[in-house]
Order: sequence, then C-alpha cells, then structure tokens
Amino acid sequence: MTPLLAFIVFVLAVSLALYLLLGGADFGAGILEGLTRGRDQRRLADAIAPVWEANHVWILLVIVILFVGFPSVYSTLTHYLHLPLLAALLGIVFRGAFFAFRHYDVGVDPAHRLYAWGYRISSVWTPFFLGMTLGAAFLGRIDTDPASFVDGFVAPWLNPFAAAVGLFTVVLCAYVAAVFMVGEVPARAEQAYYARLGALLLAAAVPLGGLVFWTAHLGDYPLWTRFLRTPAGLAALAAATLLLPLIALSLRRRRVWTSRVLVGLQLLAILGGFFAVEYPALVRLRDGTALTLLNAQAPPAVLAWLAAALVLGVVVVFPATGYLFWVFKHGRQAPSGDTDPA
Amino acid sequence: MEPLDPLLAARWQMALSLGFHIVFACIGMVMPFFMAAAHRRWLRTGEVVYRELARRWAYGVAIFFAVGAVSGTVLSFELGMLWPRFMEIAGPIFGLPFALEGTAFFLEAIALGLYLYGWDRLPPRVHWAAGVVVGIAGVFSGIFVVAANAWMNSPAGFAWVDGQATDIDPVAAMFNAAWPWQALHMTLAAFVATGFAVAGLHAVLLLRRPGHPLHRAALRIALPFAVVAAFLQPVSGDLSARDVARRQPEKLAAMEALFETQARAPLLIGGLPDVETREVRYALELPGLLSFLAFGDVDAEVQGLDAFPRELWPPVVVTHLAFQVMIGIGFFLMGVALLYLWARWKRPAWLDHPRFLRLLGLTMPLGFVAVEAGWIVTEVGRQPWIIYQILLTRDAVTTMPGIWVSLGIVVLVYVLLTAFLVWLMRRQIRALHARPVSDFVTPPSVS
Repeated sequence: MTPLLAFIVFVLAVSLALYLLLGGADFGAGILEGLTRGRDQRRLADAIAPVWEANHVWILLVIVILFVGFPSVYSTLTHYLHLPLLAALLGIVFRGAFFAFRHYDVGVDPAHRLYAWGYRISSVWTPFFLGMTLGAAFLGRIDTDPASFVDGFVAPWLNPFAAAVGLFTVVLCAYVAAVFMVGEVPARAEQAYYARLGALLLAAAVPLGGLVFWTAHLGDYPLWTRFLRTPAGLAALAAATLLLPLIALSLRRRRVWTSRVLVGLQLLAILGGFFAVEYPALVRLRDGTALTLLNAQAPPAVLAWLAAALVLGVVVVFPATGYLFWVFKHGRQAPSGDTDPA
Repeated sequence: MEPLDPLLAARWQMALSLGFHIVFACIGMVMPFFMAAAHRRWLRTGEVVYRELARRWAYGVAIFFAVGAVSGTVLSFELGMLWPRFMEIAGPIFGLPFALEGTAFFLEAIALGLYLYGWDRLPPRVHWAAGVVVGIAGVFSGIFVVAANAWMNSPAGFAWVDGQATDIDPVAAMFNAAWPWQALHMTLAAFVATGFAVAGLHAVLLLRRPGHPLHRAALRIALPFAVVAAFLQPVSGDLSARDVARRQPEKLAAMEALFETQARAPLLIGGLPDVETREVRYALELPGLLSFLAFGDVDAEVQGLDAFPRELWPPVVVTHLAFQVMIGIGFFLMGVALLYLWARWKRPAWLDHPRFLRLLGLTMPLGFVAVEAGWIVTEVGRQPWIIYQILLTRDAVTTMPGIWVSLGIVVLVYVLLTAFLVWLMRRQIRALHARPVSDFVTPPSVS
C-alpha cells in the first residue's frame, strides 16, 4: 500500500469511526427518547443540538472518499444495495426534518407529539438500515450478474446476518448515547439512571454481537474464524471483552470521561477489528471475489488531489470544530439567547 | 410491470430531488447574508427591530439549512443509486469539488451552530462574523457543486479511450470551461430568487399588518440585495449563452428552437416549437438578434438543430419553453428592480403603497420558478448525454427494475415535507403577529 493510499484509508477509517461515535450518539439520543418515552427530551435534544447538523459531514465524507477514491465500491454498493440505502435515506430525511421542526417550531401543542414520534422512529430506523447495508457489503451475496430482481436487489441484504448487524448497530448507538448522557445531566439520581441504562444496553449488545457471529456462520460467512485467525481480530475481540467489566465499573462509579473514553475505545475495537480482519476487502461478491482497497483504487493523480482536499478540510475544519466545542464549554453563560426575550 | 419507462422514472426522480434541494440550497446560502445584514444594523443603530429580525431569519435559516443538508445527503447517495455507471466513470474525475464542498458545508454547519447558540456566549462582533461565515461558506459550497455539474456540460481533465477514462487530472476537470459562467449565473440566481422571495413574503405580511416595523425592516434589507442581483443577472445570462453557443451549439439551438442553421438568426420570444414540422408557432421573431447575442455579429451563422443527428437533439419543446420562462421572469424582475430604484429616487411614498406590495408579493415565487426553469434548460438541454459527448444518459441508468416505485415514494416524501414547511412558516408568522408591535420598537430611554 502506498503512503498516499494509506493516508486516504486512514481518513476513511477516521470518518467512519466518527460517524459511528458522534453520529451514533446522535441517533442514540433519538432512540433513548423513544425508550424512555420522552423523559429528558429537552436535555437529550439540547445535548446534540449545537452539533447535530454537522454529523452529516462524516457520512458525506465516507461517500465522497468512496466515489472519488474507490469508484467501483461506491457504484456497486449504491446499485445492488439500492433498497436498504433508500430506506436509510428516507430515515435521514424524516429524522432531520422532524428534529429541526421540533426545535425551531413555536409553542408546544399536539404537533409536537408527531415530531417527537417521527424523530424517535426514524432514529431507530436509519441506523438499522445503515447497519444492514454495512453487513450486506461483506456477506458476499452481491451478484453482479443476477438472474432475477430478488437475486440482484433483495437477497444480498434481506437476510439474518444483515438484520443482525442492523440490530447490533441500533443498540450500539443507544449505548453510546446513554453513556454520553451520564455527563449531561446534573442530578446524581439522573446520572445513575443513565449509567444503569448504559449498562443495560451494554448487556443487550453482547448477545447481539454473538447473534452477528452466529448468523454469519449460518450464512456461510466465516467471520468468527477470520477474527480468531488474525492477530488484529484476536486483539480487537480481547480488547472489547476486557473493556466490558471496566466500563461496567466506571459507569457504576459515574466516571463521566473515563466511561466515554472506554466506550469510544470499545467501539473502535469492534469497528477496527471488523475492517482489520476483512482487510483489504470493502465489498465481497457472490462469485468469491472482492472489491478491495487495492483493486478498486482510483489512479494516483486522483488520490493525490483527494488527499490534498482532505488535508485542506482538516486544516479548516478541526480548528473551527474545536472553537465550537470550546465556546459551548467555556463561553459566557448568560440566560439562553435561543429563546425569546418576550 | 413498468408503468413508466425506467430511464424516464430515474430522470424524474433525479430532477425532483435536485429541484427540491436547490430551493433549500439557495435559501441556505443567501438568507445568512440577510440575517447578518440585519444583525449589523442592530449592532450599529441599537434598534431592537433589527435584532428581532436577525433572530427570526436565523430560525428560517436553521430550518432551511437542516432540510438542505438532509436533501443534499440524499443526493450524494442517489447519484450512485440511479446512475451507477455514470458515477463509476465520473466519480474520480469530478470528485474533487465534492470533497471541497464537504469542507465548505462543514464550515457552514459549524458557523451556523456558533451563530444560533452564540447570542449570549460570543463577543458581538465575533458573533456577527459567524453569521457572515455561514453565508460565505454556503456560497462556496454552491460554487463547488456547480463545478461538478459544469463538468458534465464541458467534460475536461481526462482522455477517453475505448470507453475508459485515462490520464485523469482532477484539477483540469474542476476548472472546466463552463464552470465560471455557470457558477456566476447560479450564485446570482440564488440572490435574485431568495431576495424576491423574502421581500415578497414580508410585503404580503405588510399588507396584512400595515406598517409593522419588522416587515418594513425586512424589506429594507432584502430588496437591495434582490435589486442589485436582478440587474447583474441578465449580464451573466448573456455570458452564459455565449459560452453555450460555442460549446454546446445543439443546446442553444434547442433553447431558441432554431431548427435551421442560418446567418442572421432571429431571437424568438415565446412560441411553441413543433418538432415534426420543424416550425415554431406563435413566436415573436427579432431578426439577427440571436446571431448578435451568441457571436456579437448580426450576420453570424448560428447552427440549428439540422446540423445534428436527430437522435442527438435535446428535447426541444421543454428546453425552449423553460428557457422562455426563465428569460421572461428575469426581465420582469429586472423591471420590478427598476421600478423600485425609480420610486426610491422620485416617489418614496410608492414603496409603501399596497399596489407595490402586491407586486412584490407576486415576485415571491417567481425567482424560484426561474431557478427551476434554468436548471431544466441546462439539464434537459444536455440530453441525451449525461456526460456531454462521452456517455449517454440511457447507458448510465441503473438496471434495477421498479424505479417508478422509488420515484413515487420520493414524490410523496417531498410533497409532505413541503406541506409541513409551509405550515411551519405560517405558525412562525402567526406567533410573530401575536406579539405587540411595541416589542419591535426601541424604547427611547434605552437607545
């Protein structure tokens, strides 16, 4: 792998990881609202409001890197996984719209029940279908010469494995959000509530992770073997498992930042481990071949300019994001200007 | 099985998604400037009405930005879902501006976050500057996206060998021949359309609440932007048309419904082209003017559609009519701008007259109708090509059956969203009007 390609892959991995963590917490806030039937709706919304629109940029970055740097990967995924992507897109549209409507609408009346439930349902729906798409990319059912509509556009993703990955993704999102919320509520009792919820969701995620491996096995996808046979896979499994008791302990003691960091590391281990054991594949096809980081890459001139644009983006975006976070943590706290003085 | 031709269904879905997104993109890039202008006046004069206006508009910006962001995300997927073959070829070539657009978009989102939540947290001038950055980042975002579209009209930065792109140069692709003209025309169009839409809306509200200080302040800020842009737009339109005449002569021929190649080609006003008989009925002809506008010489020869194989003609009727609508509205809005300037100079009282306000109300949707018509000209006028003279649209479309179903879903979703937005804006306005007018007047003791 050339240094150039390595850099692009690094940014791709970081974007995907940030989407899982930040976007995941974003989706998760909506899922928690549904789970808790609107308890702390205001706080959940406030916790994500200043940055929530910005989270779209991570998935956009993934998409742009794919279609510029690995065009056949992008076109194969969008073509054969059209339907789950369409479902995810509908979720993205409704979720964004309902959240904005609720946040900037005047007054509170029955319309807000509609926004709330539209927002909550699409917060579950969207990561489910995004997870399904990710699972389908690696299962190896994508057939580039399909015999029928079902073979070509339904079978690759409508299967137990992809559904298990979807469910796993949803629970992970809720888990990240719950752990994040521990540090966003003031009262001890409230903190304990979210800490317990986080631990519960973690407890639910473990068997779902097992379900992912089991359904992979049923679908003749040797995911478990791959994890066990590669050092990176083993390390990732070990890390994710060893972190379980640490996170449980840290949540019990309501250590806000320790919990956040540990959960971040655990998710990175899961995501990183998955891509590491699959390396360099990005899409597995039914005929046994794969589109990989190496065989699908665009010519060097394209990658070089893509890298330049990404560096420019990093130079512009990171200080700006840092400033945004700094302002909200340390900025002058007067009565909120977001509401009307009247 | 397929009630609608799959190619047509995919084109409709793309057109609808783009046509929806473009409205939000325009408002998202122009409204922040209005908001910042109001904010600046508040900082300078201390008149509370301008602070209120900046806040009201900021809510509008937030809602439109959010819907623009999600509808733009949809597009980034739809490009591949509907045109996989196109994206496989074009992605590496025209992807650079999209990567840059990502940065601009992110910066816009961050600046908007700072602006919306910065009222009591940021120093006043920094807060105001955040509002300006929202607009500037938005304009850059738009200009980058237009670079990608311009590349489809004037493909550059690669060699085309045996159906494969080689020697890709993303920078040459980005700086393609059509980009400057399209970007200029689109940016001005966004200012014209948003300016008149905002002015029109507040004019209508002023008819309902005569003399309301907030709406009067809104007109004072939005109208000058709209007026200046409306005067510049015909100039940029002329530059665009000359560019199209040189690069895509069949598009110009379709725009003007010019069936026969001729010197002293006439400019048509209105008219309904008949492709079978190759005639245009009910049109007003201005001899030699098309030759003059395209090449600066009334005797210049302009290529007609007969210079091109029949199967490579763009759809003539749609392109011509859309072009007429765009031009007609453009000149009408320029007329309104002229009236505004004249009245401001000679008859200031006219500006508060209900008739003038009603006229502005009429312009509220017109700018956006022109924007949509302009996109129809550039997109339908490029058919049957998706990448001009490289790849046919029908060779790029997805092979997945049943696109008409997803088209149906997309139509339903966008109709619902539009209805919701209209309803939401009405609620905002009702809440605003429920407040006493004195809320918007600076108490003498404070100022």
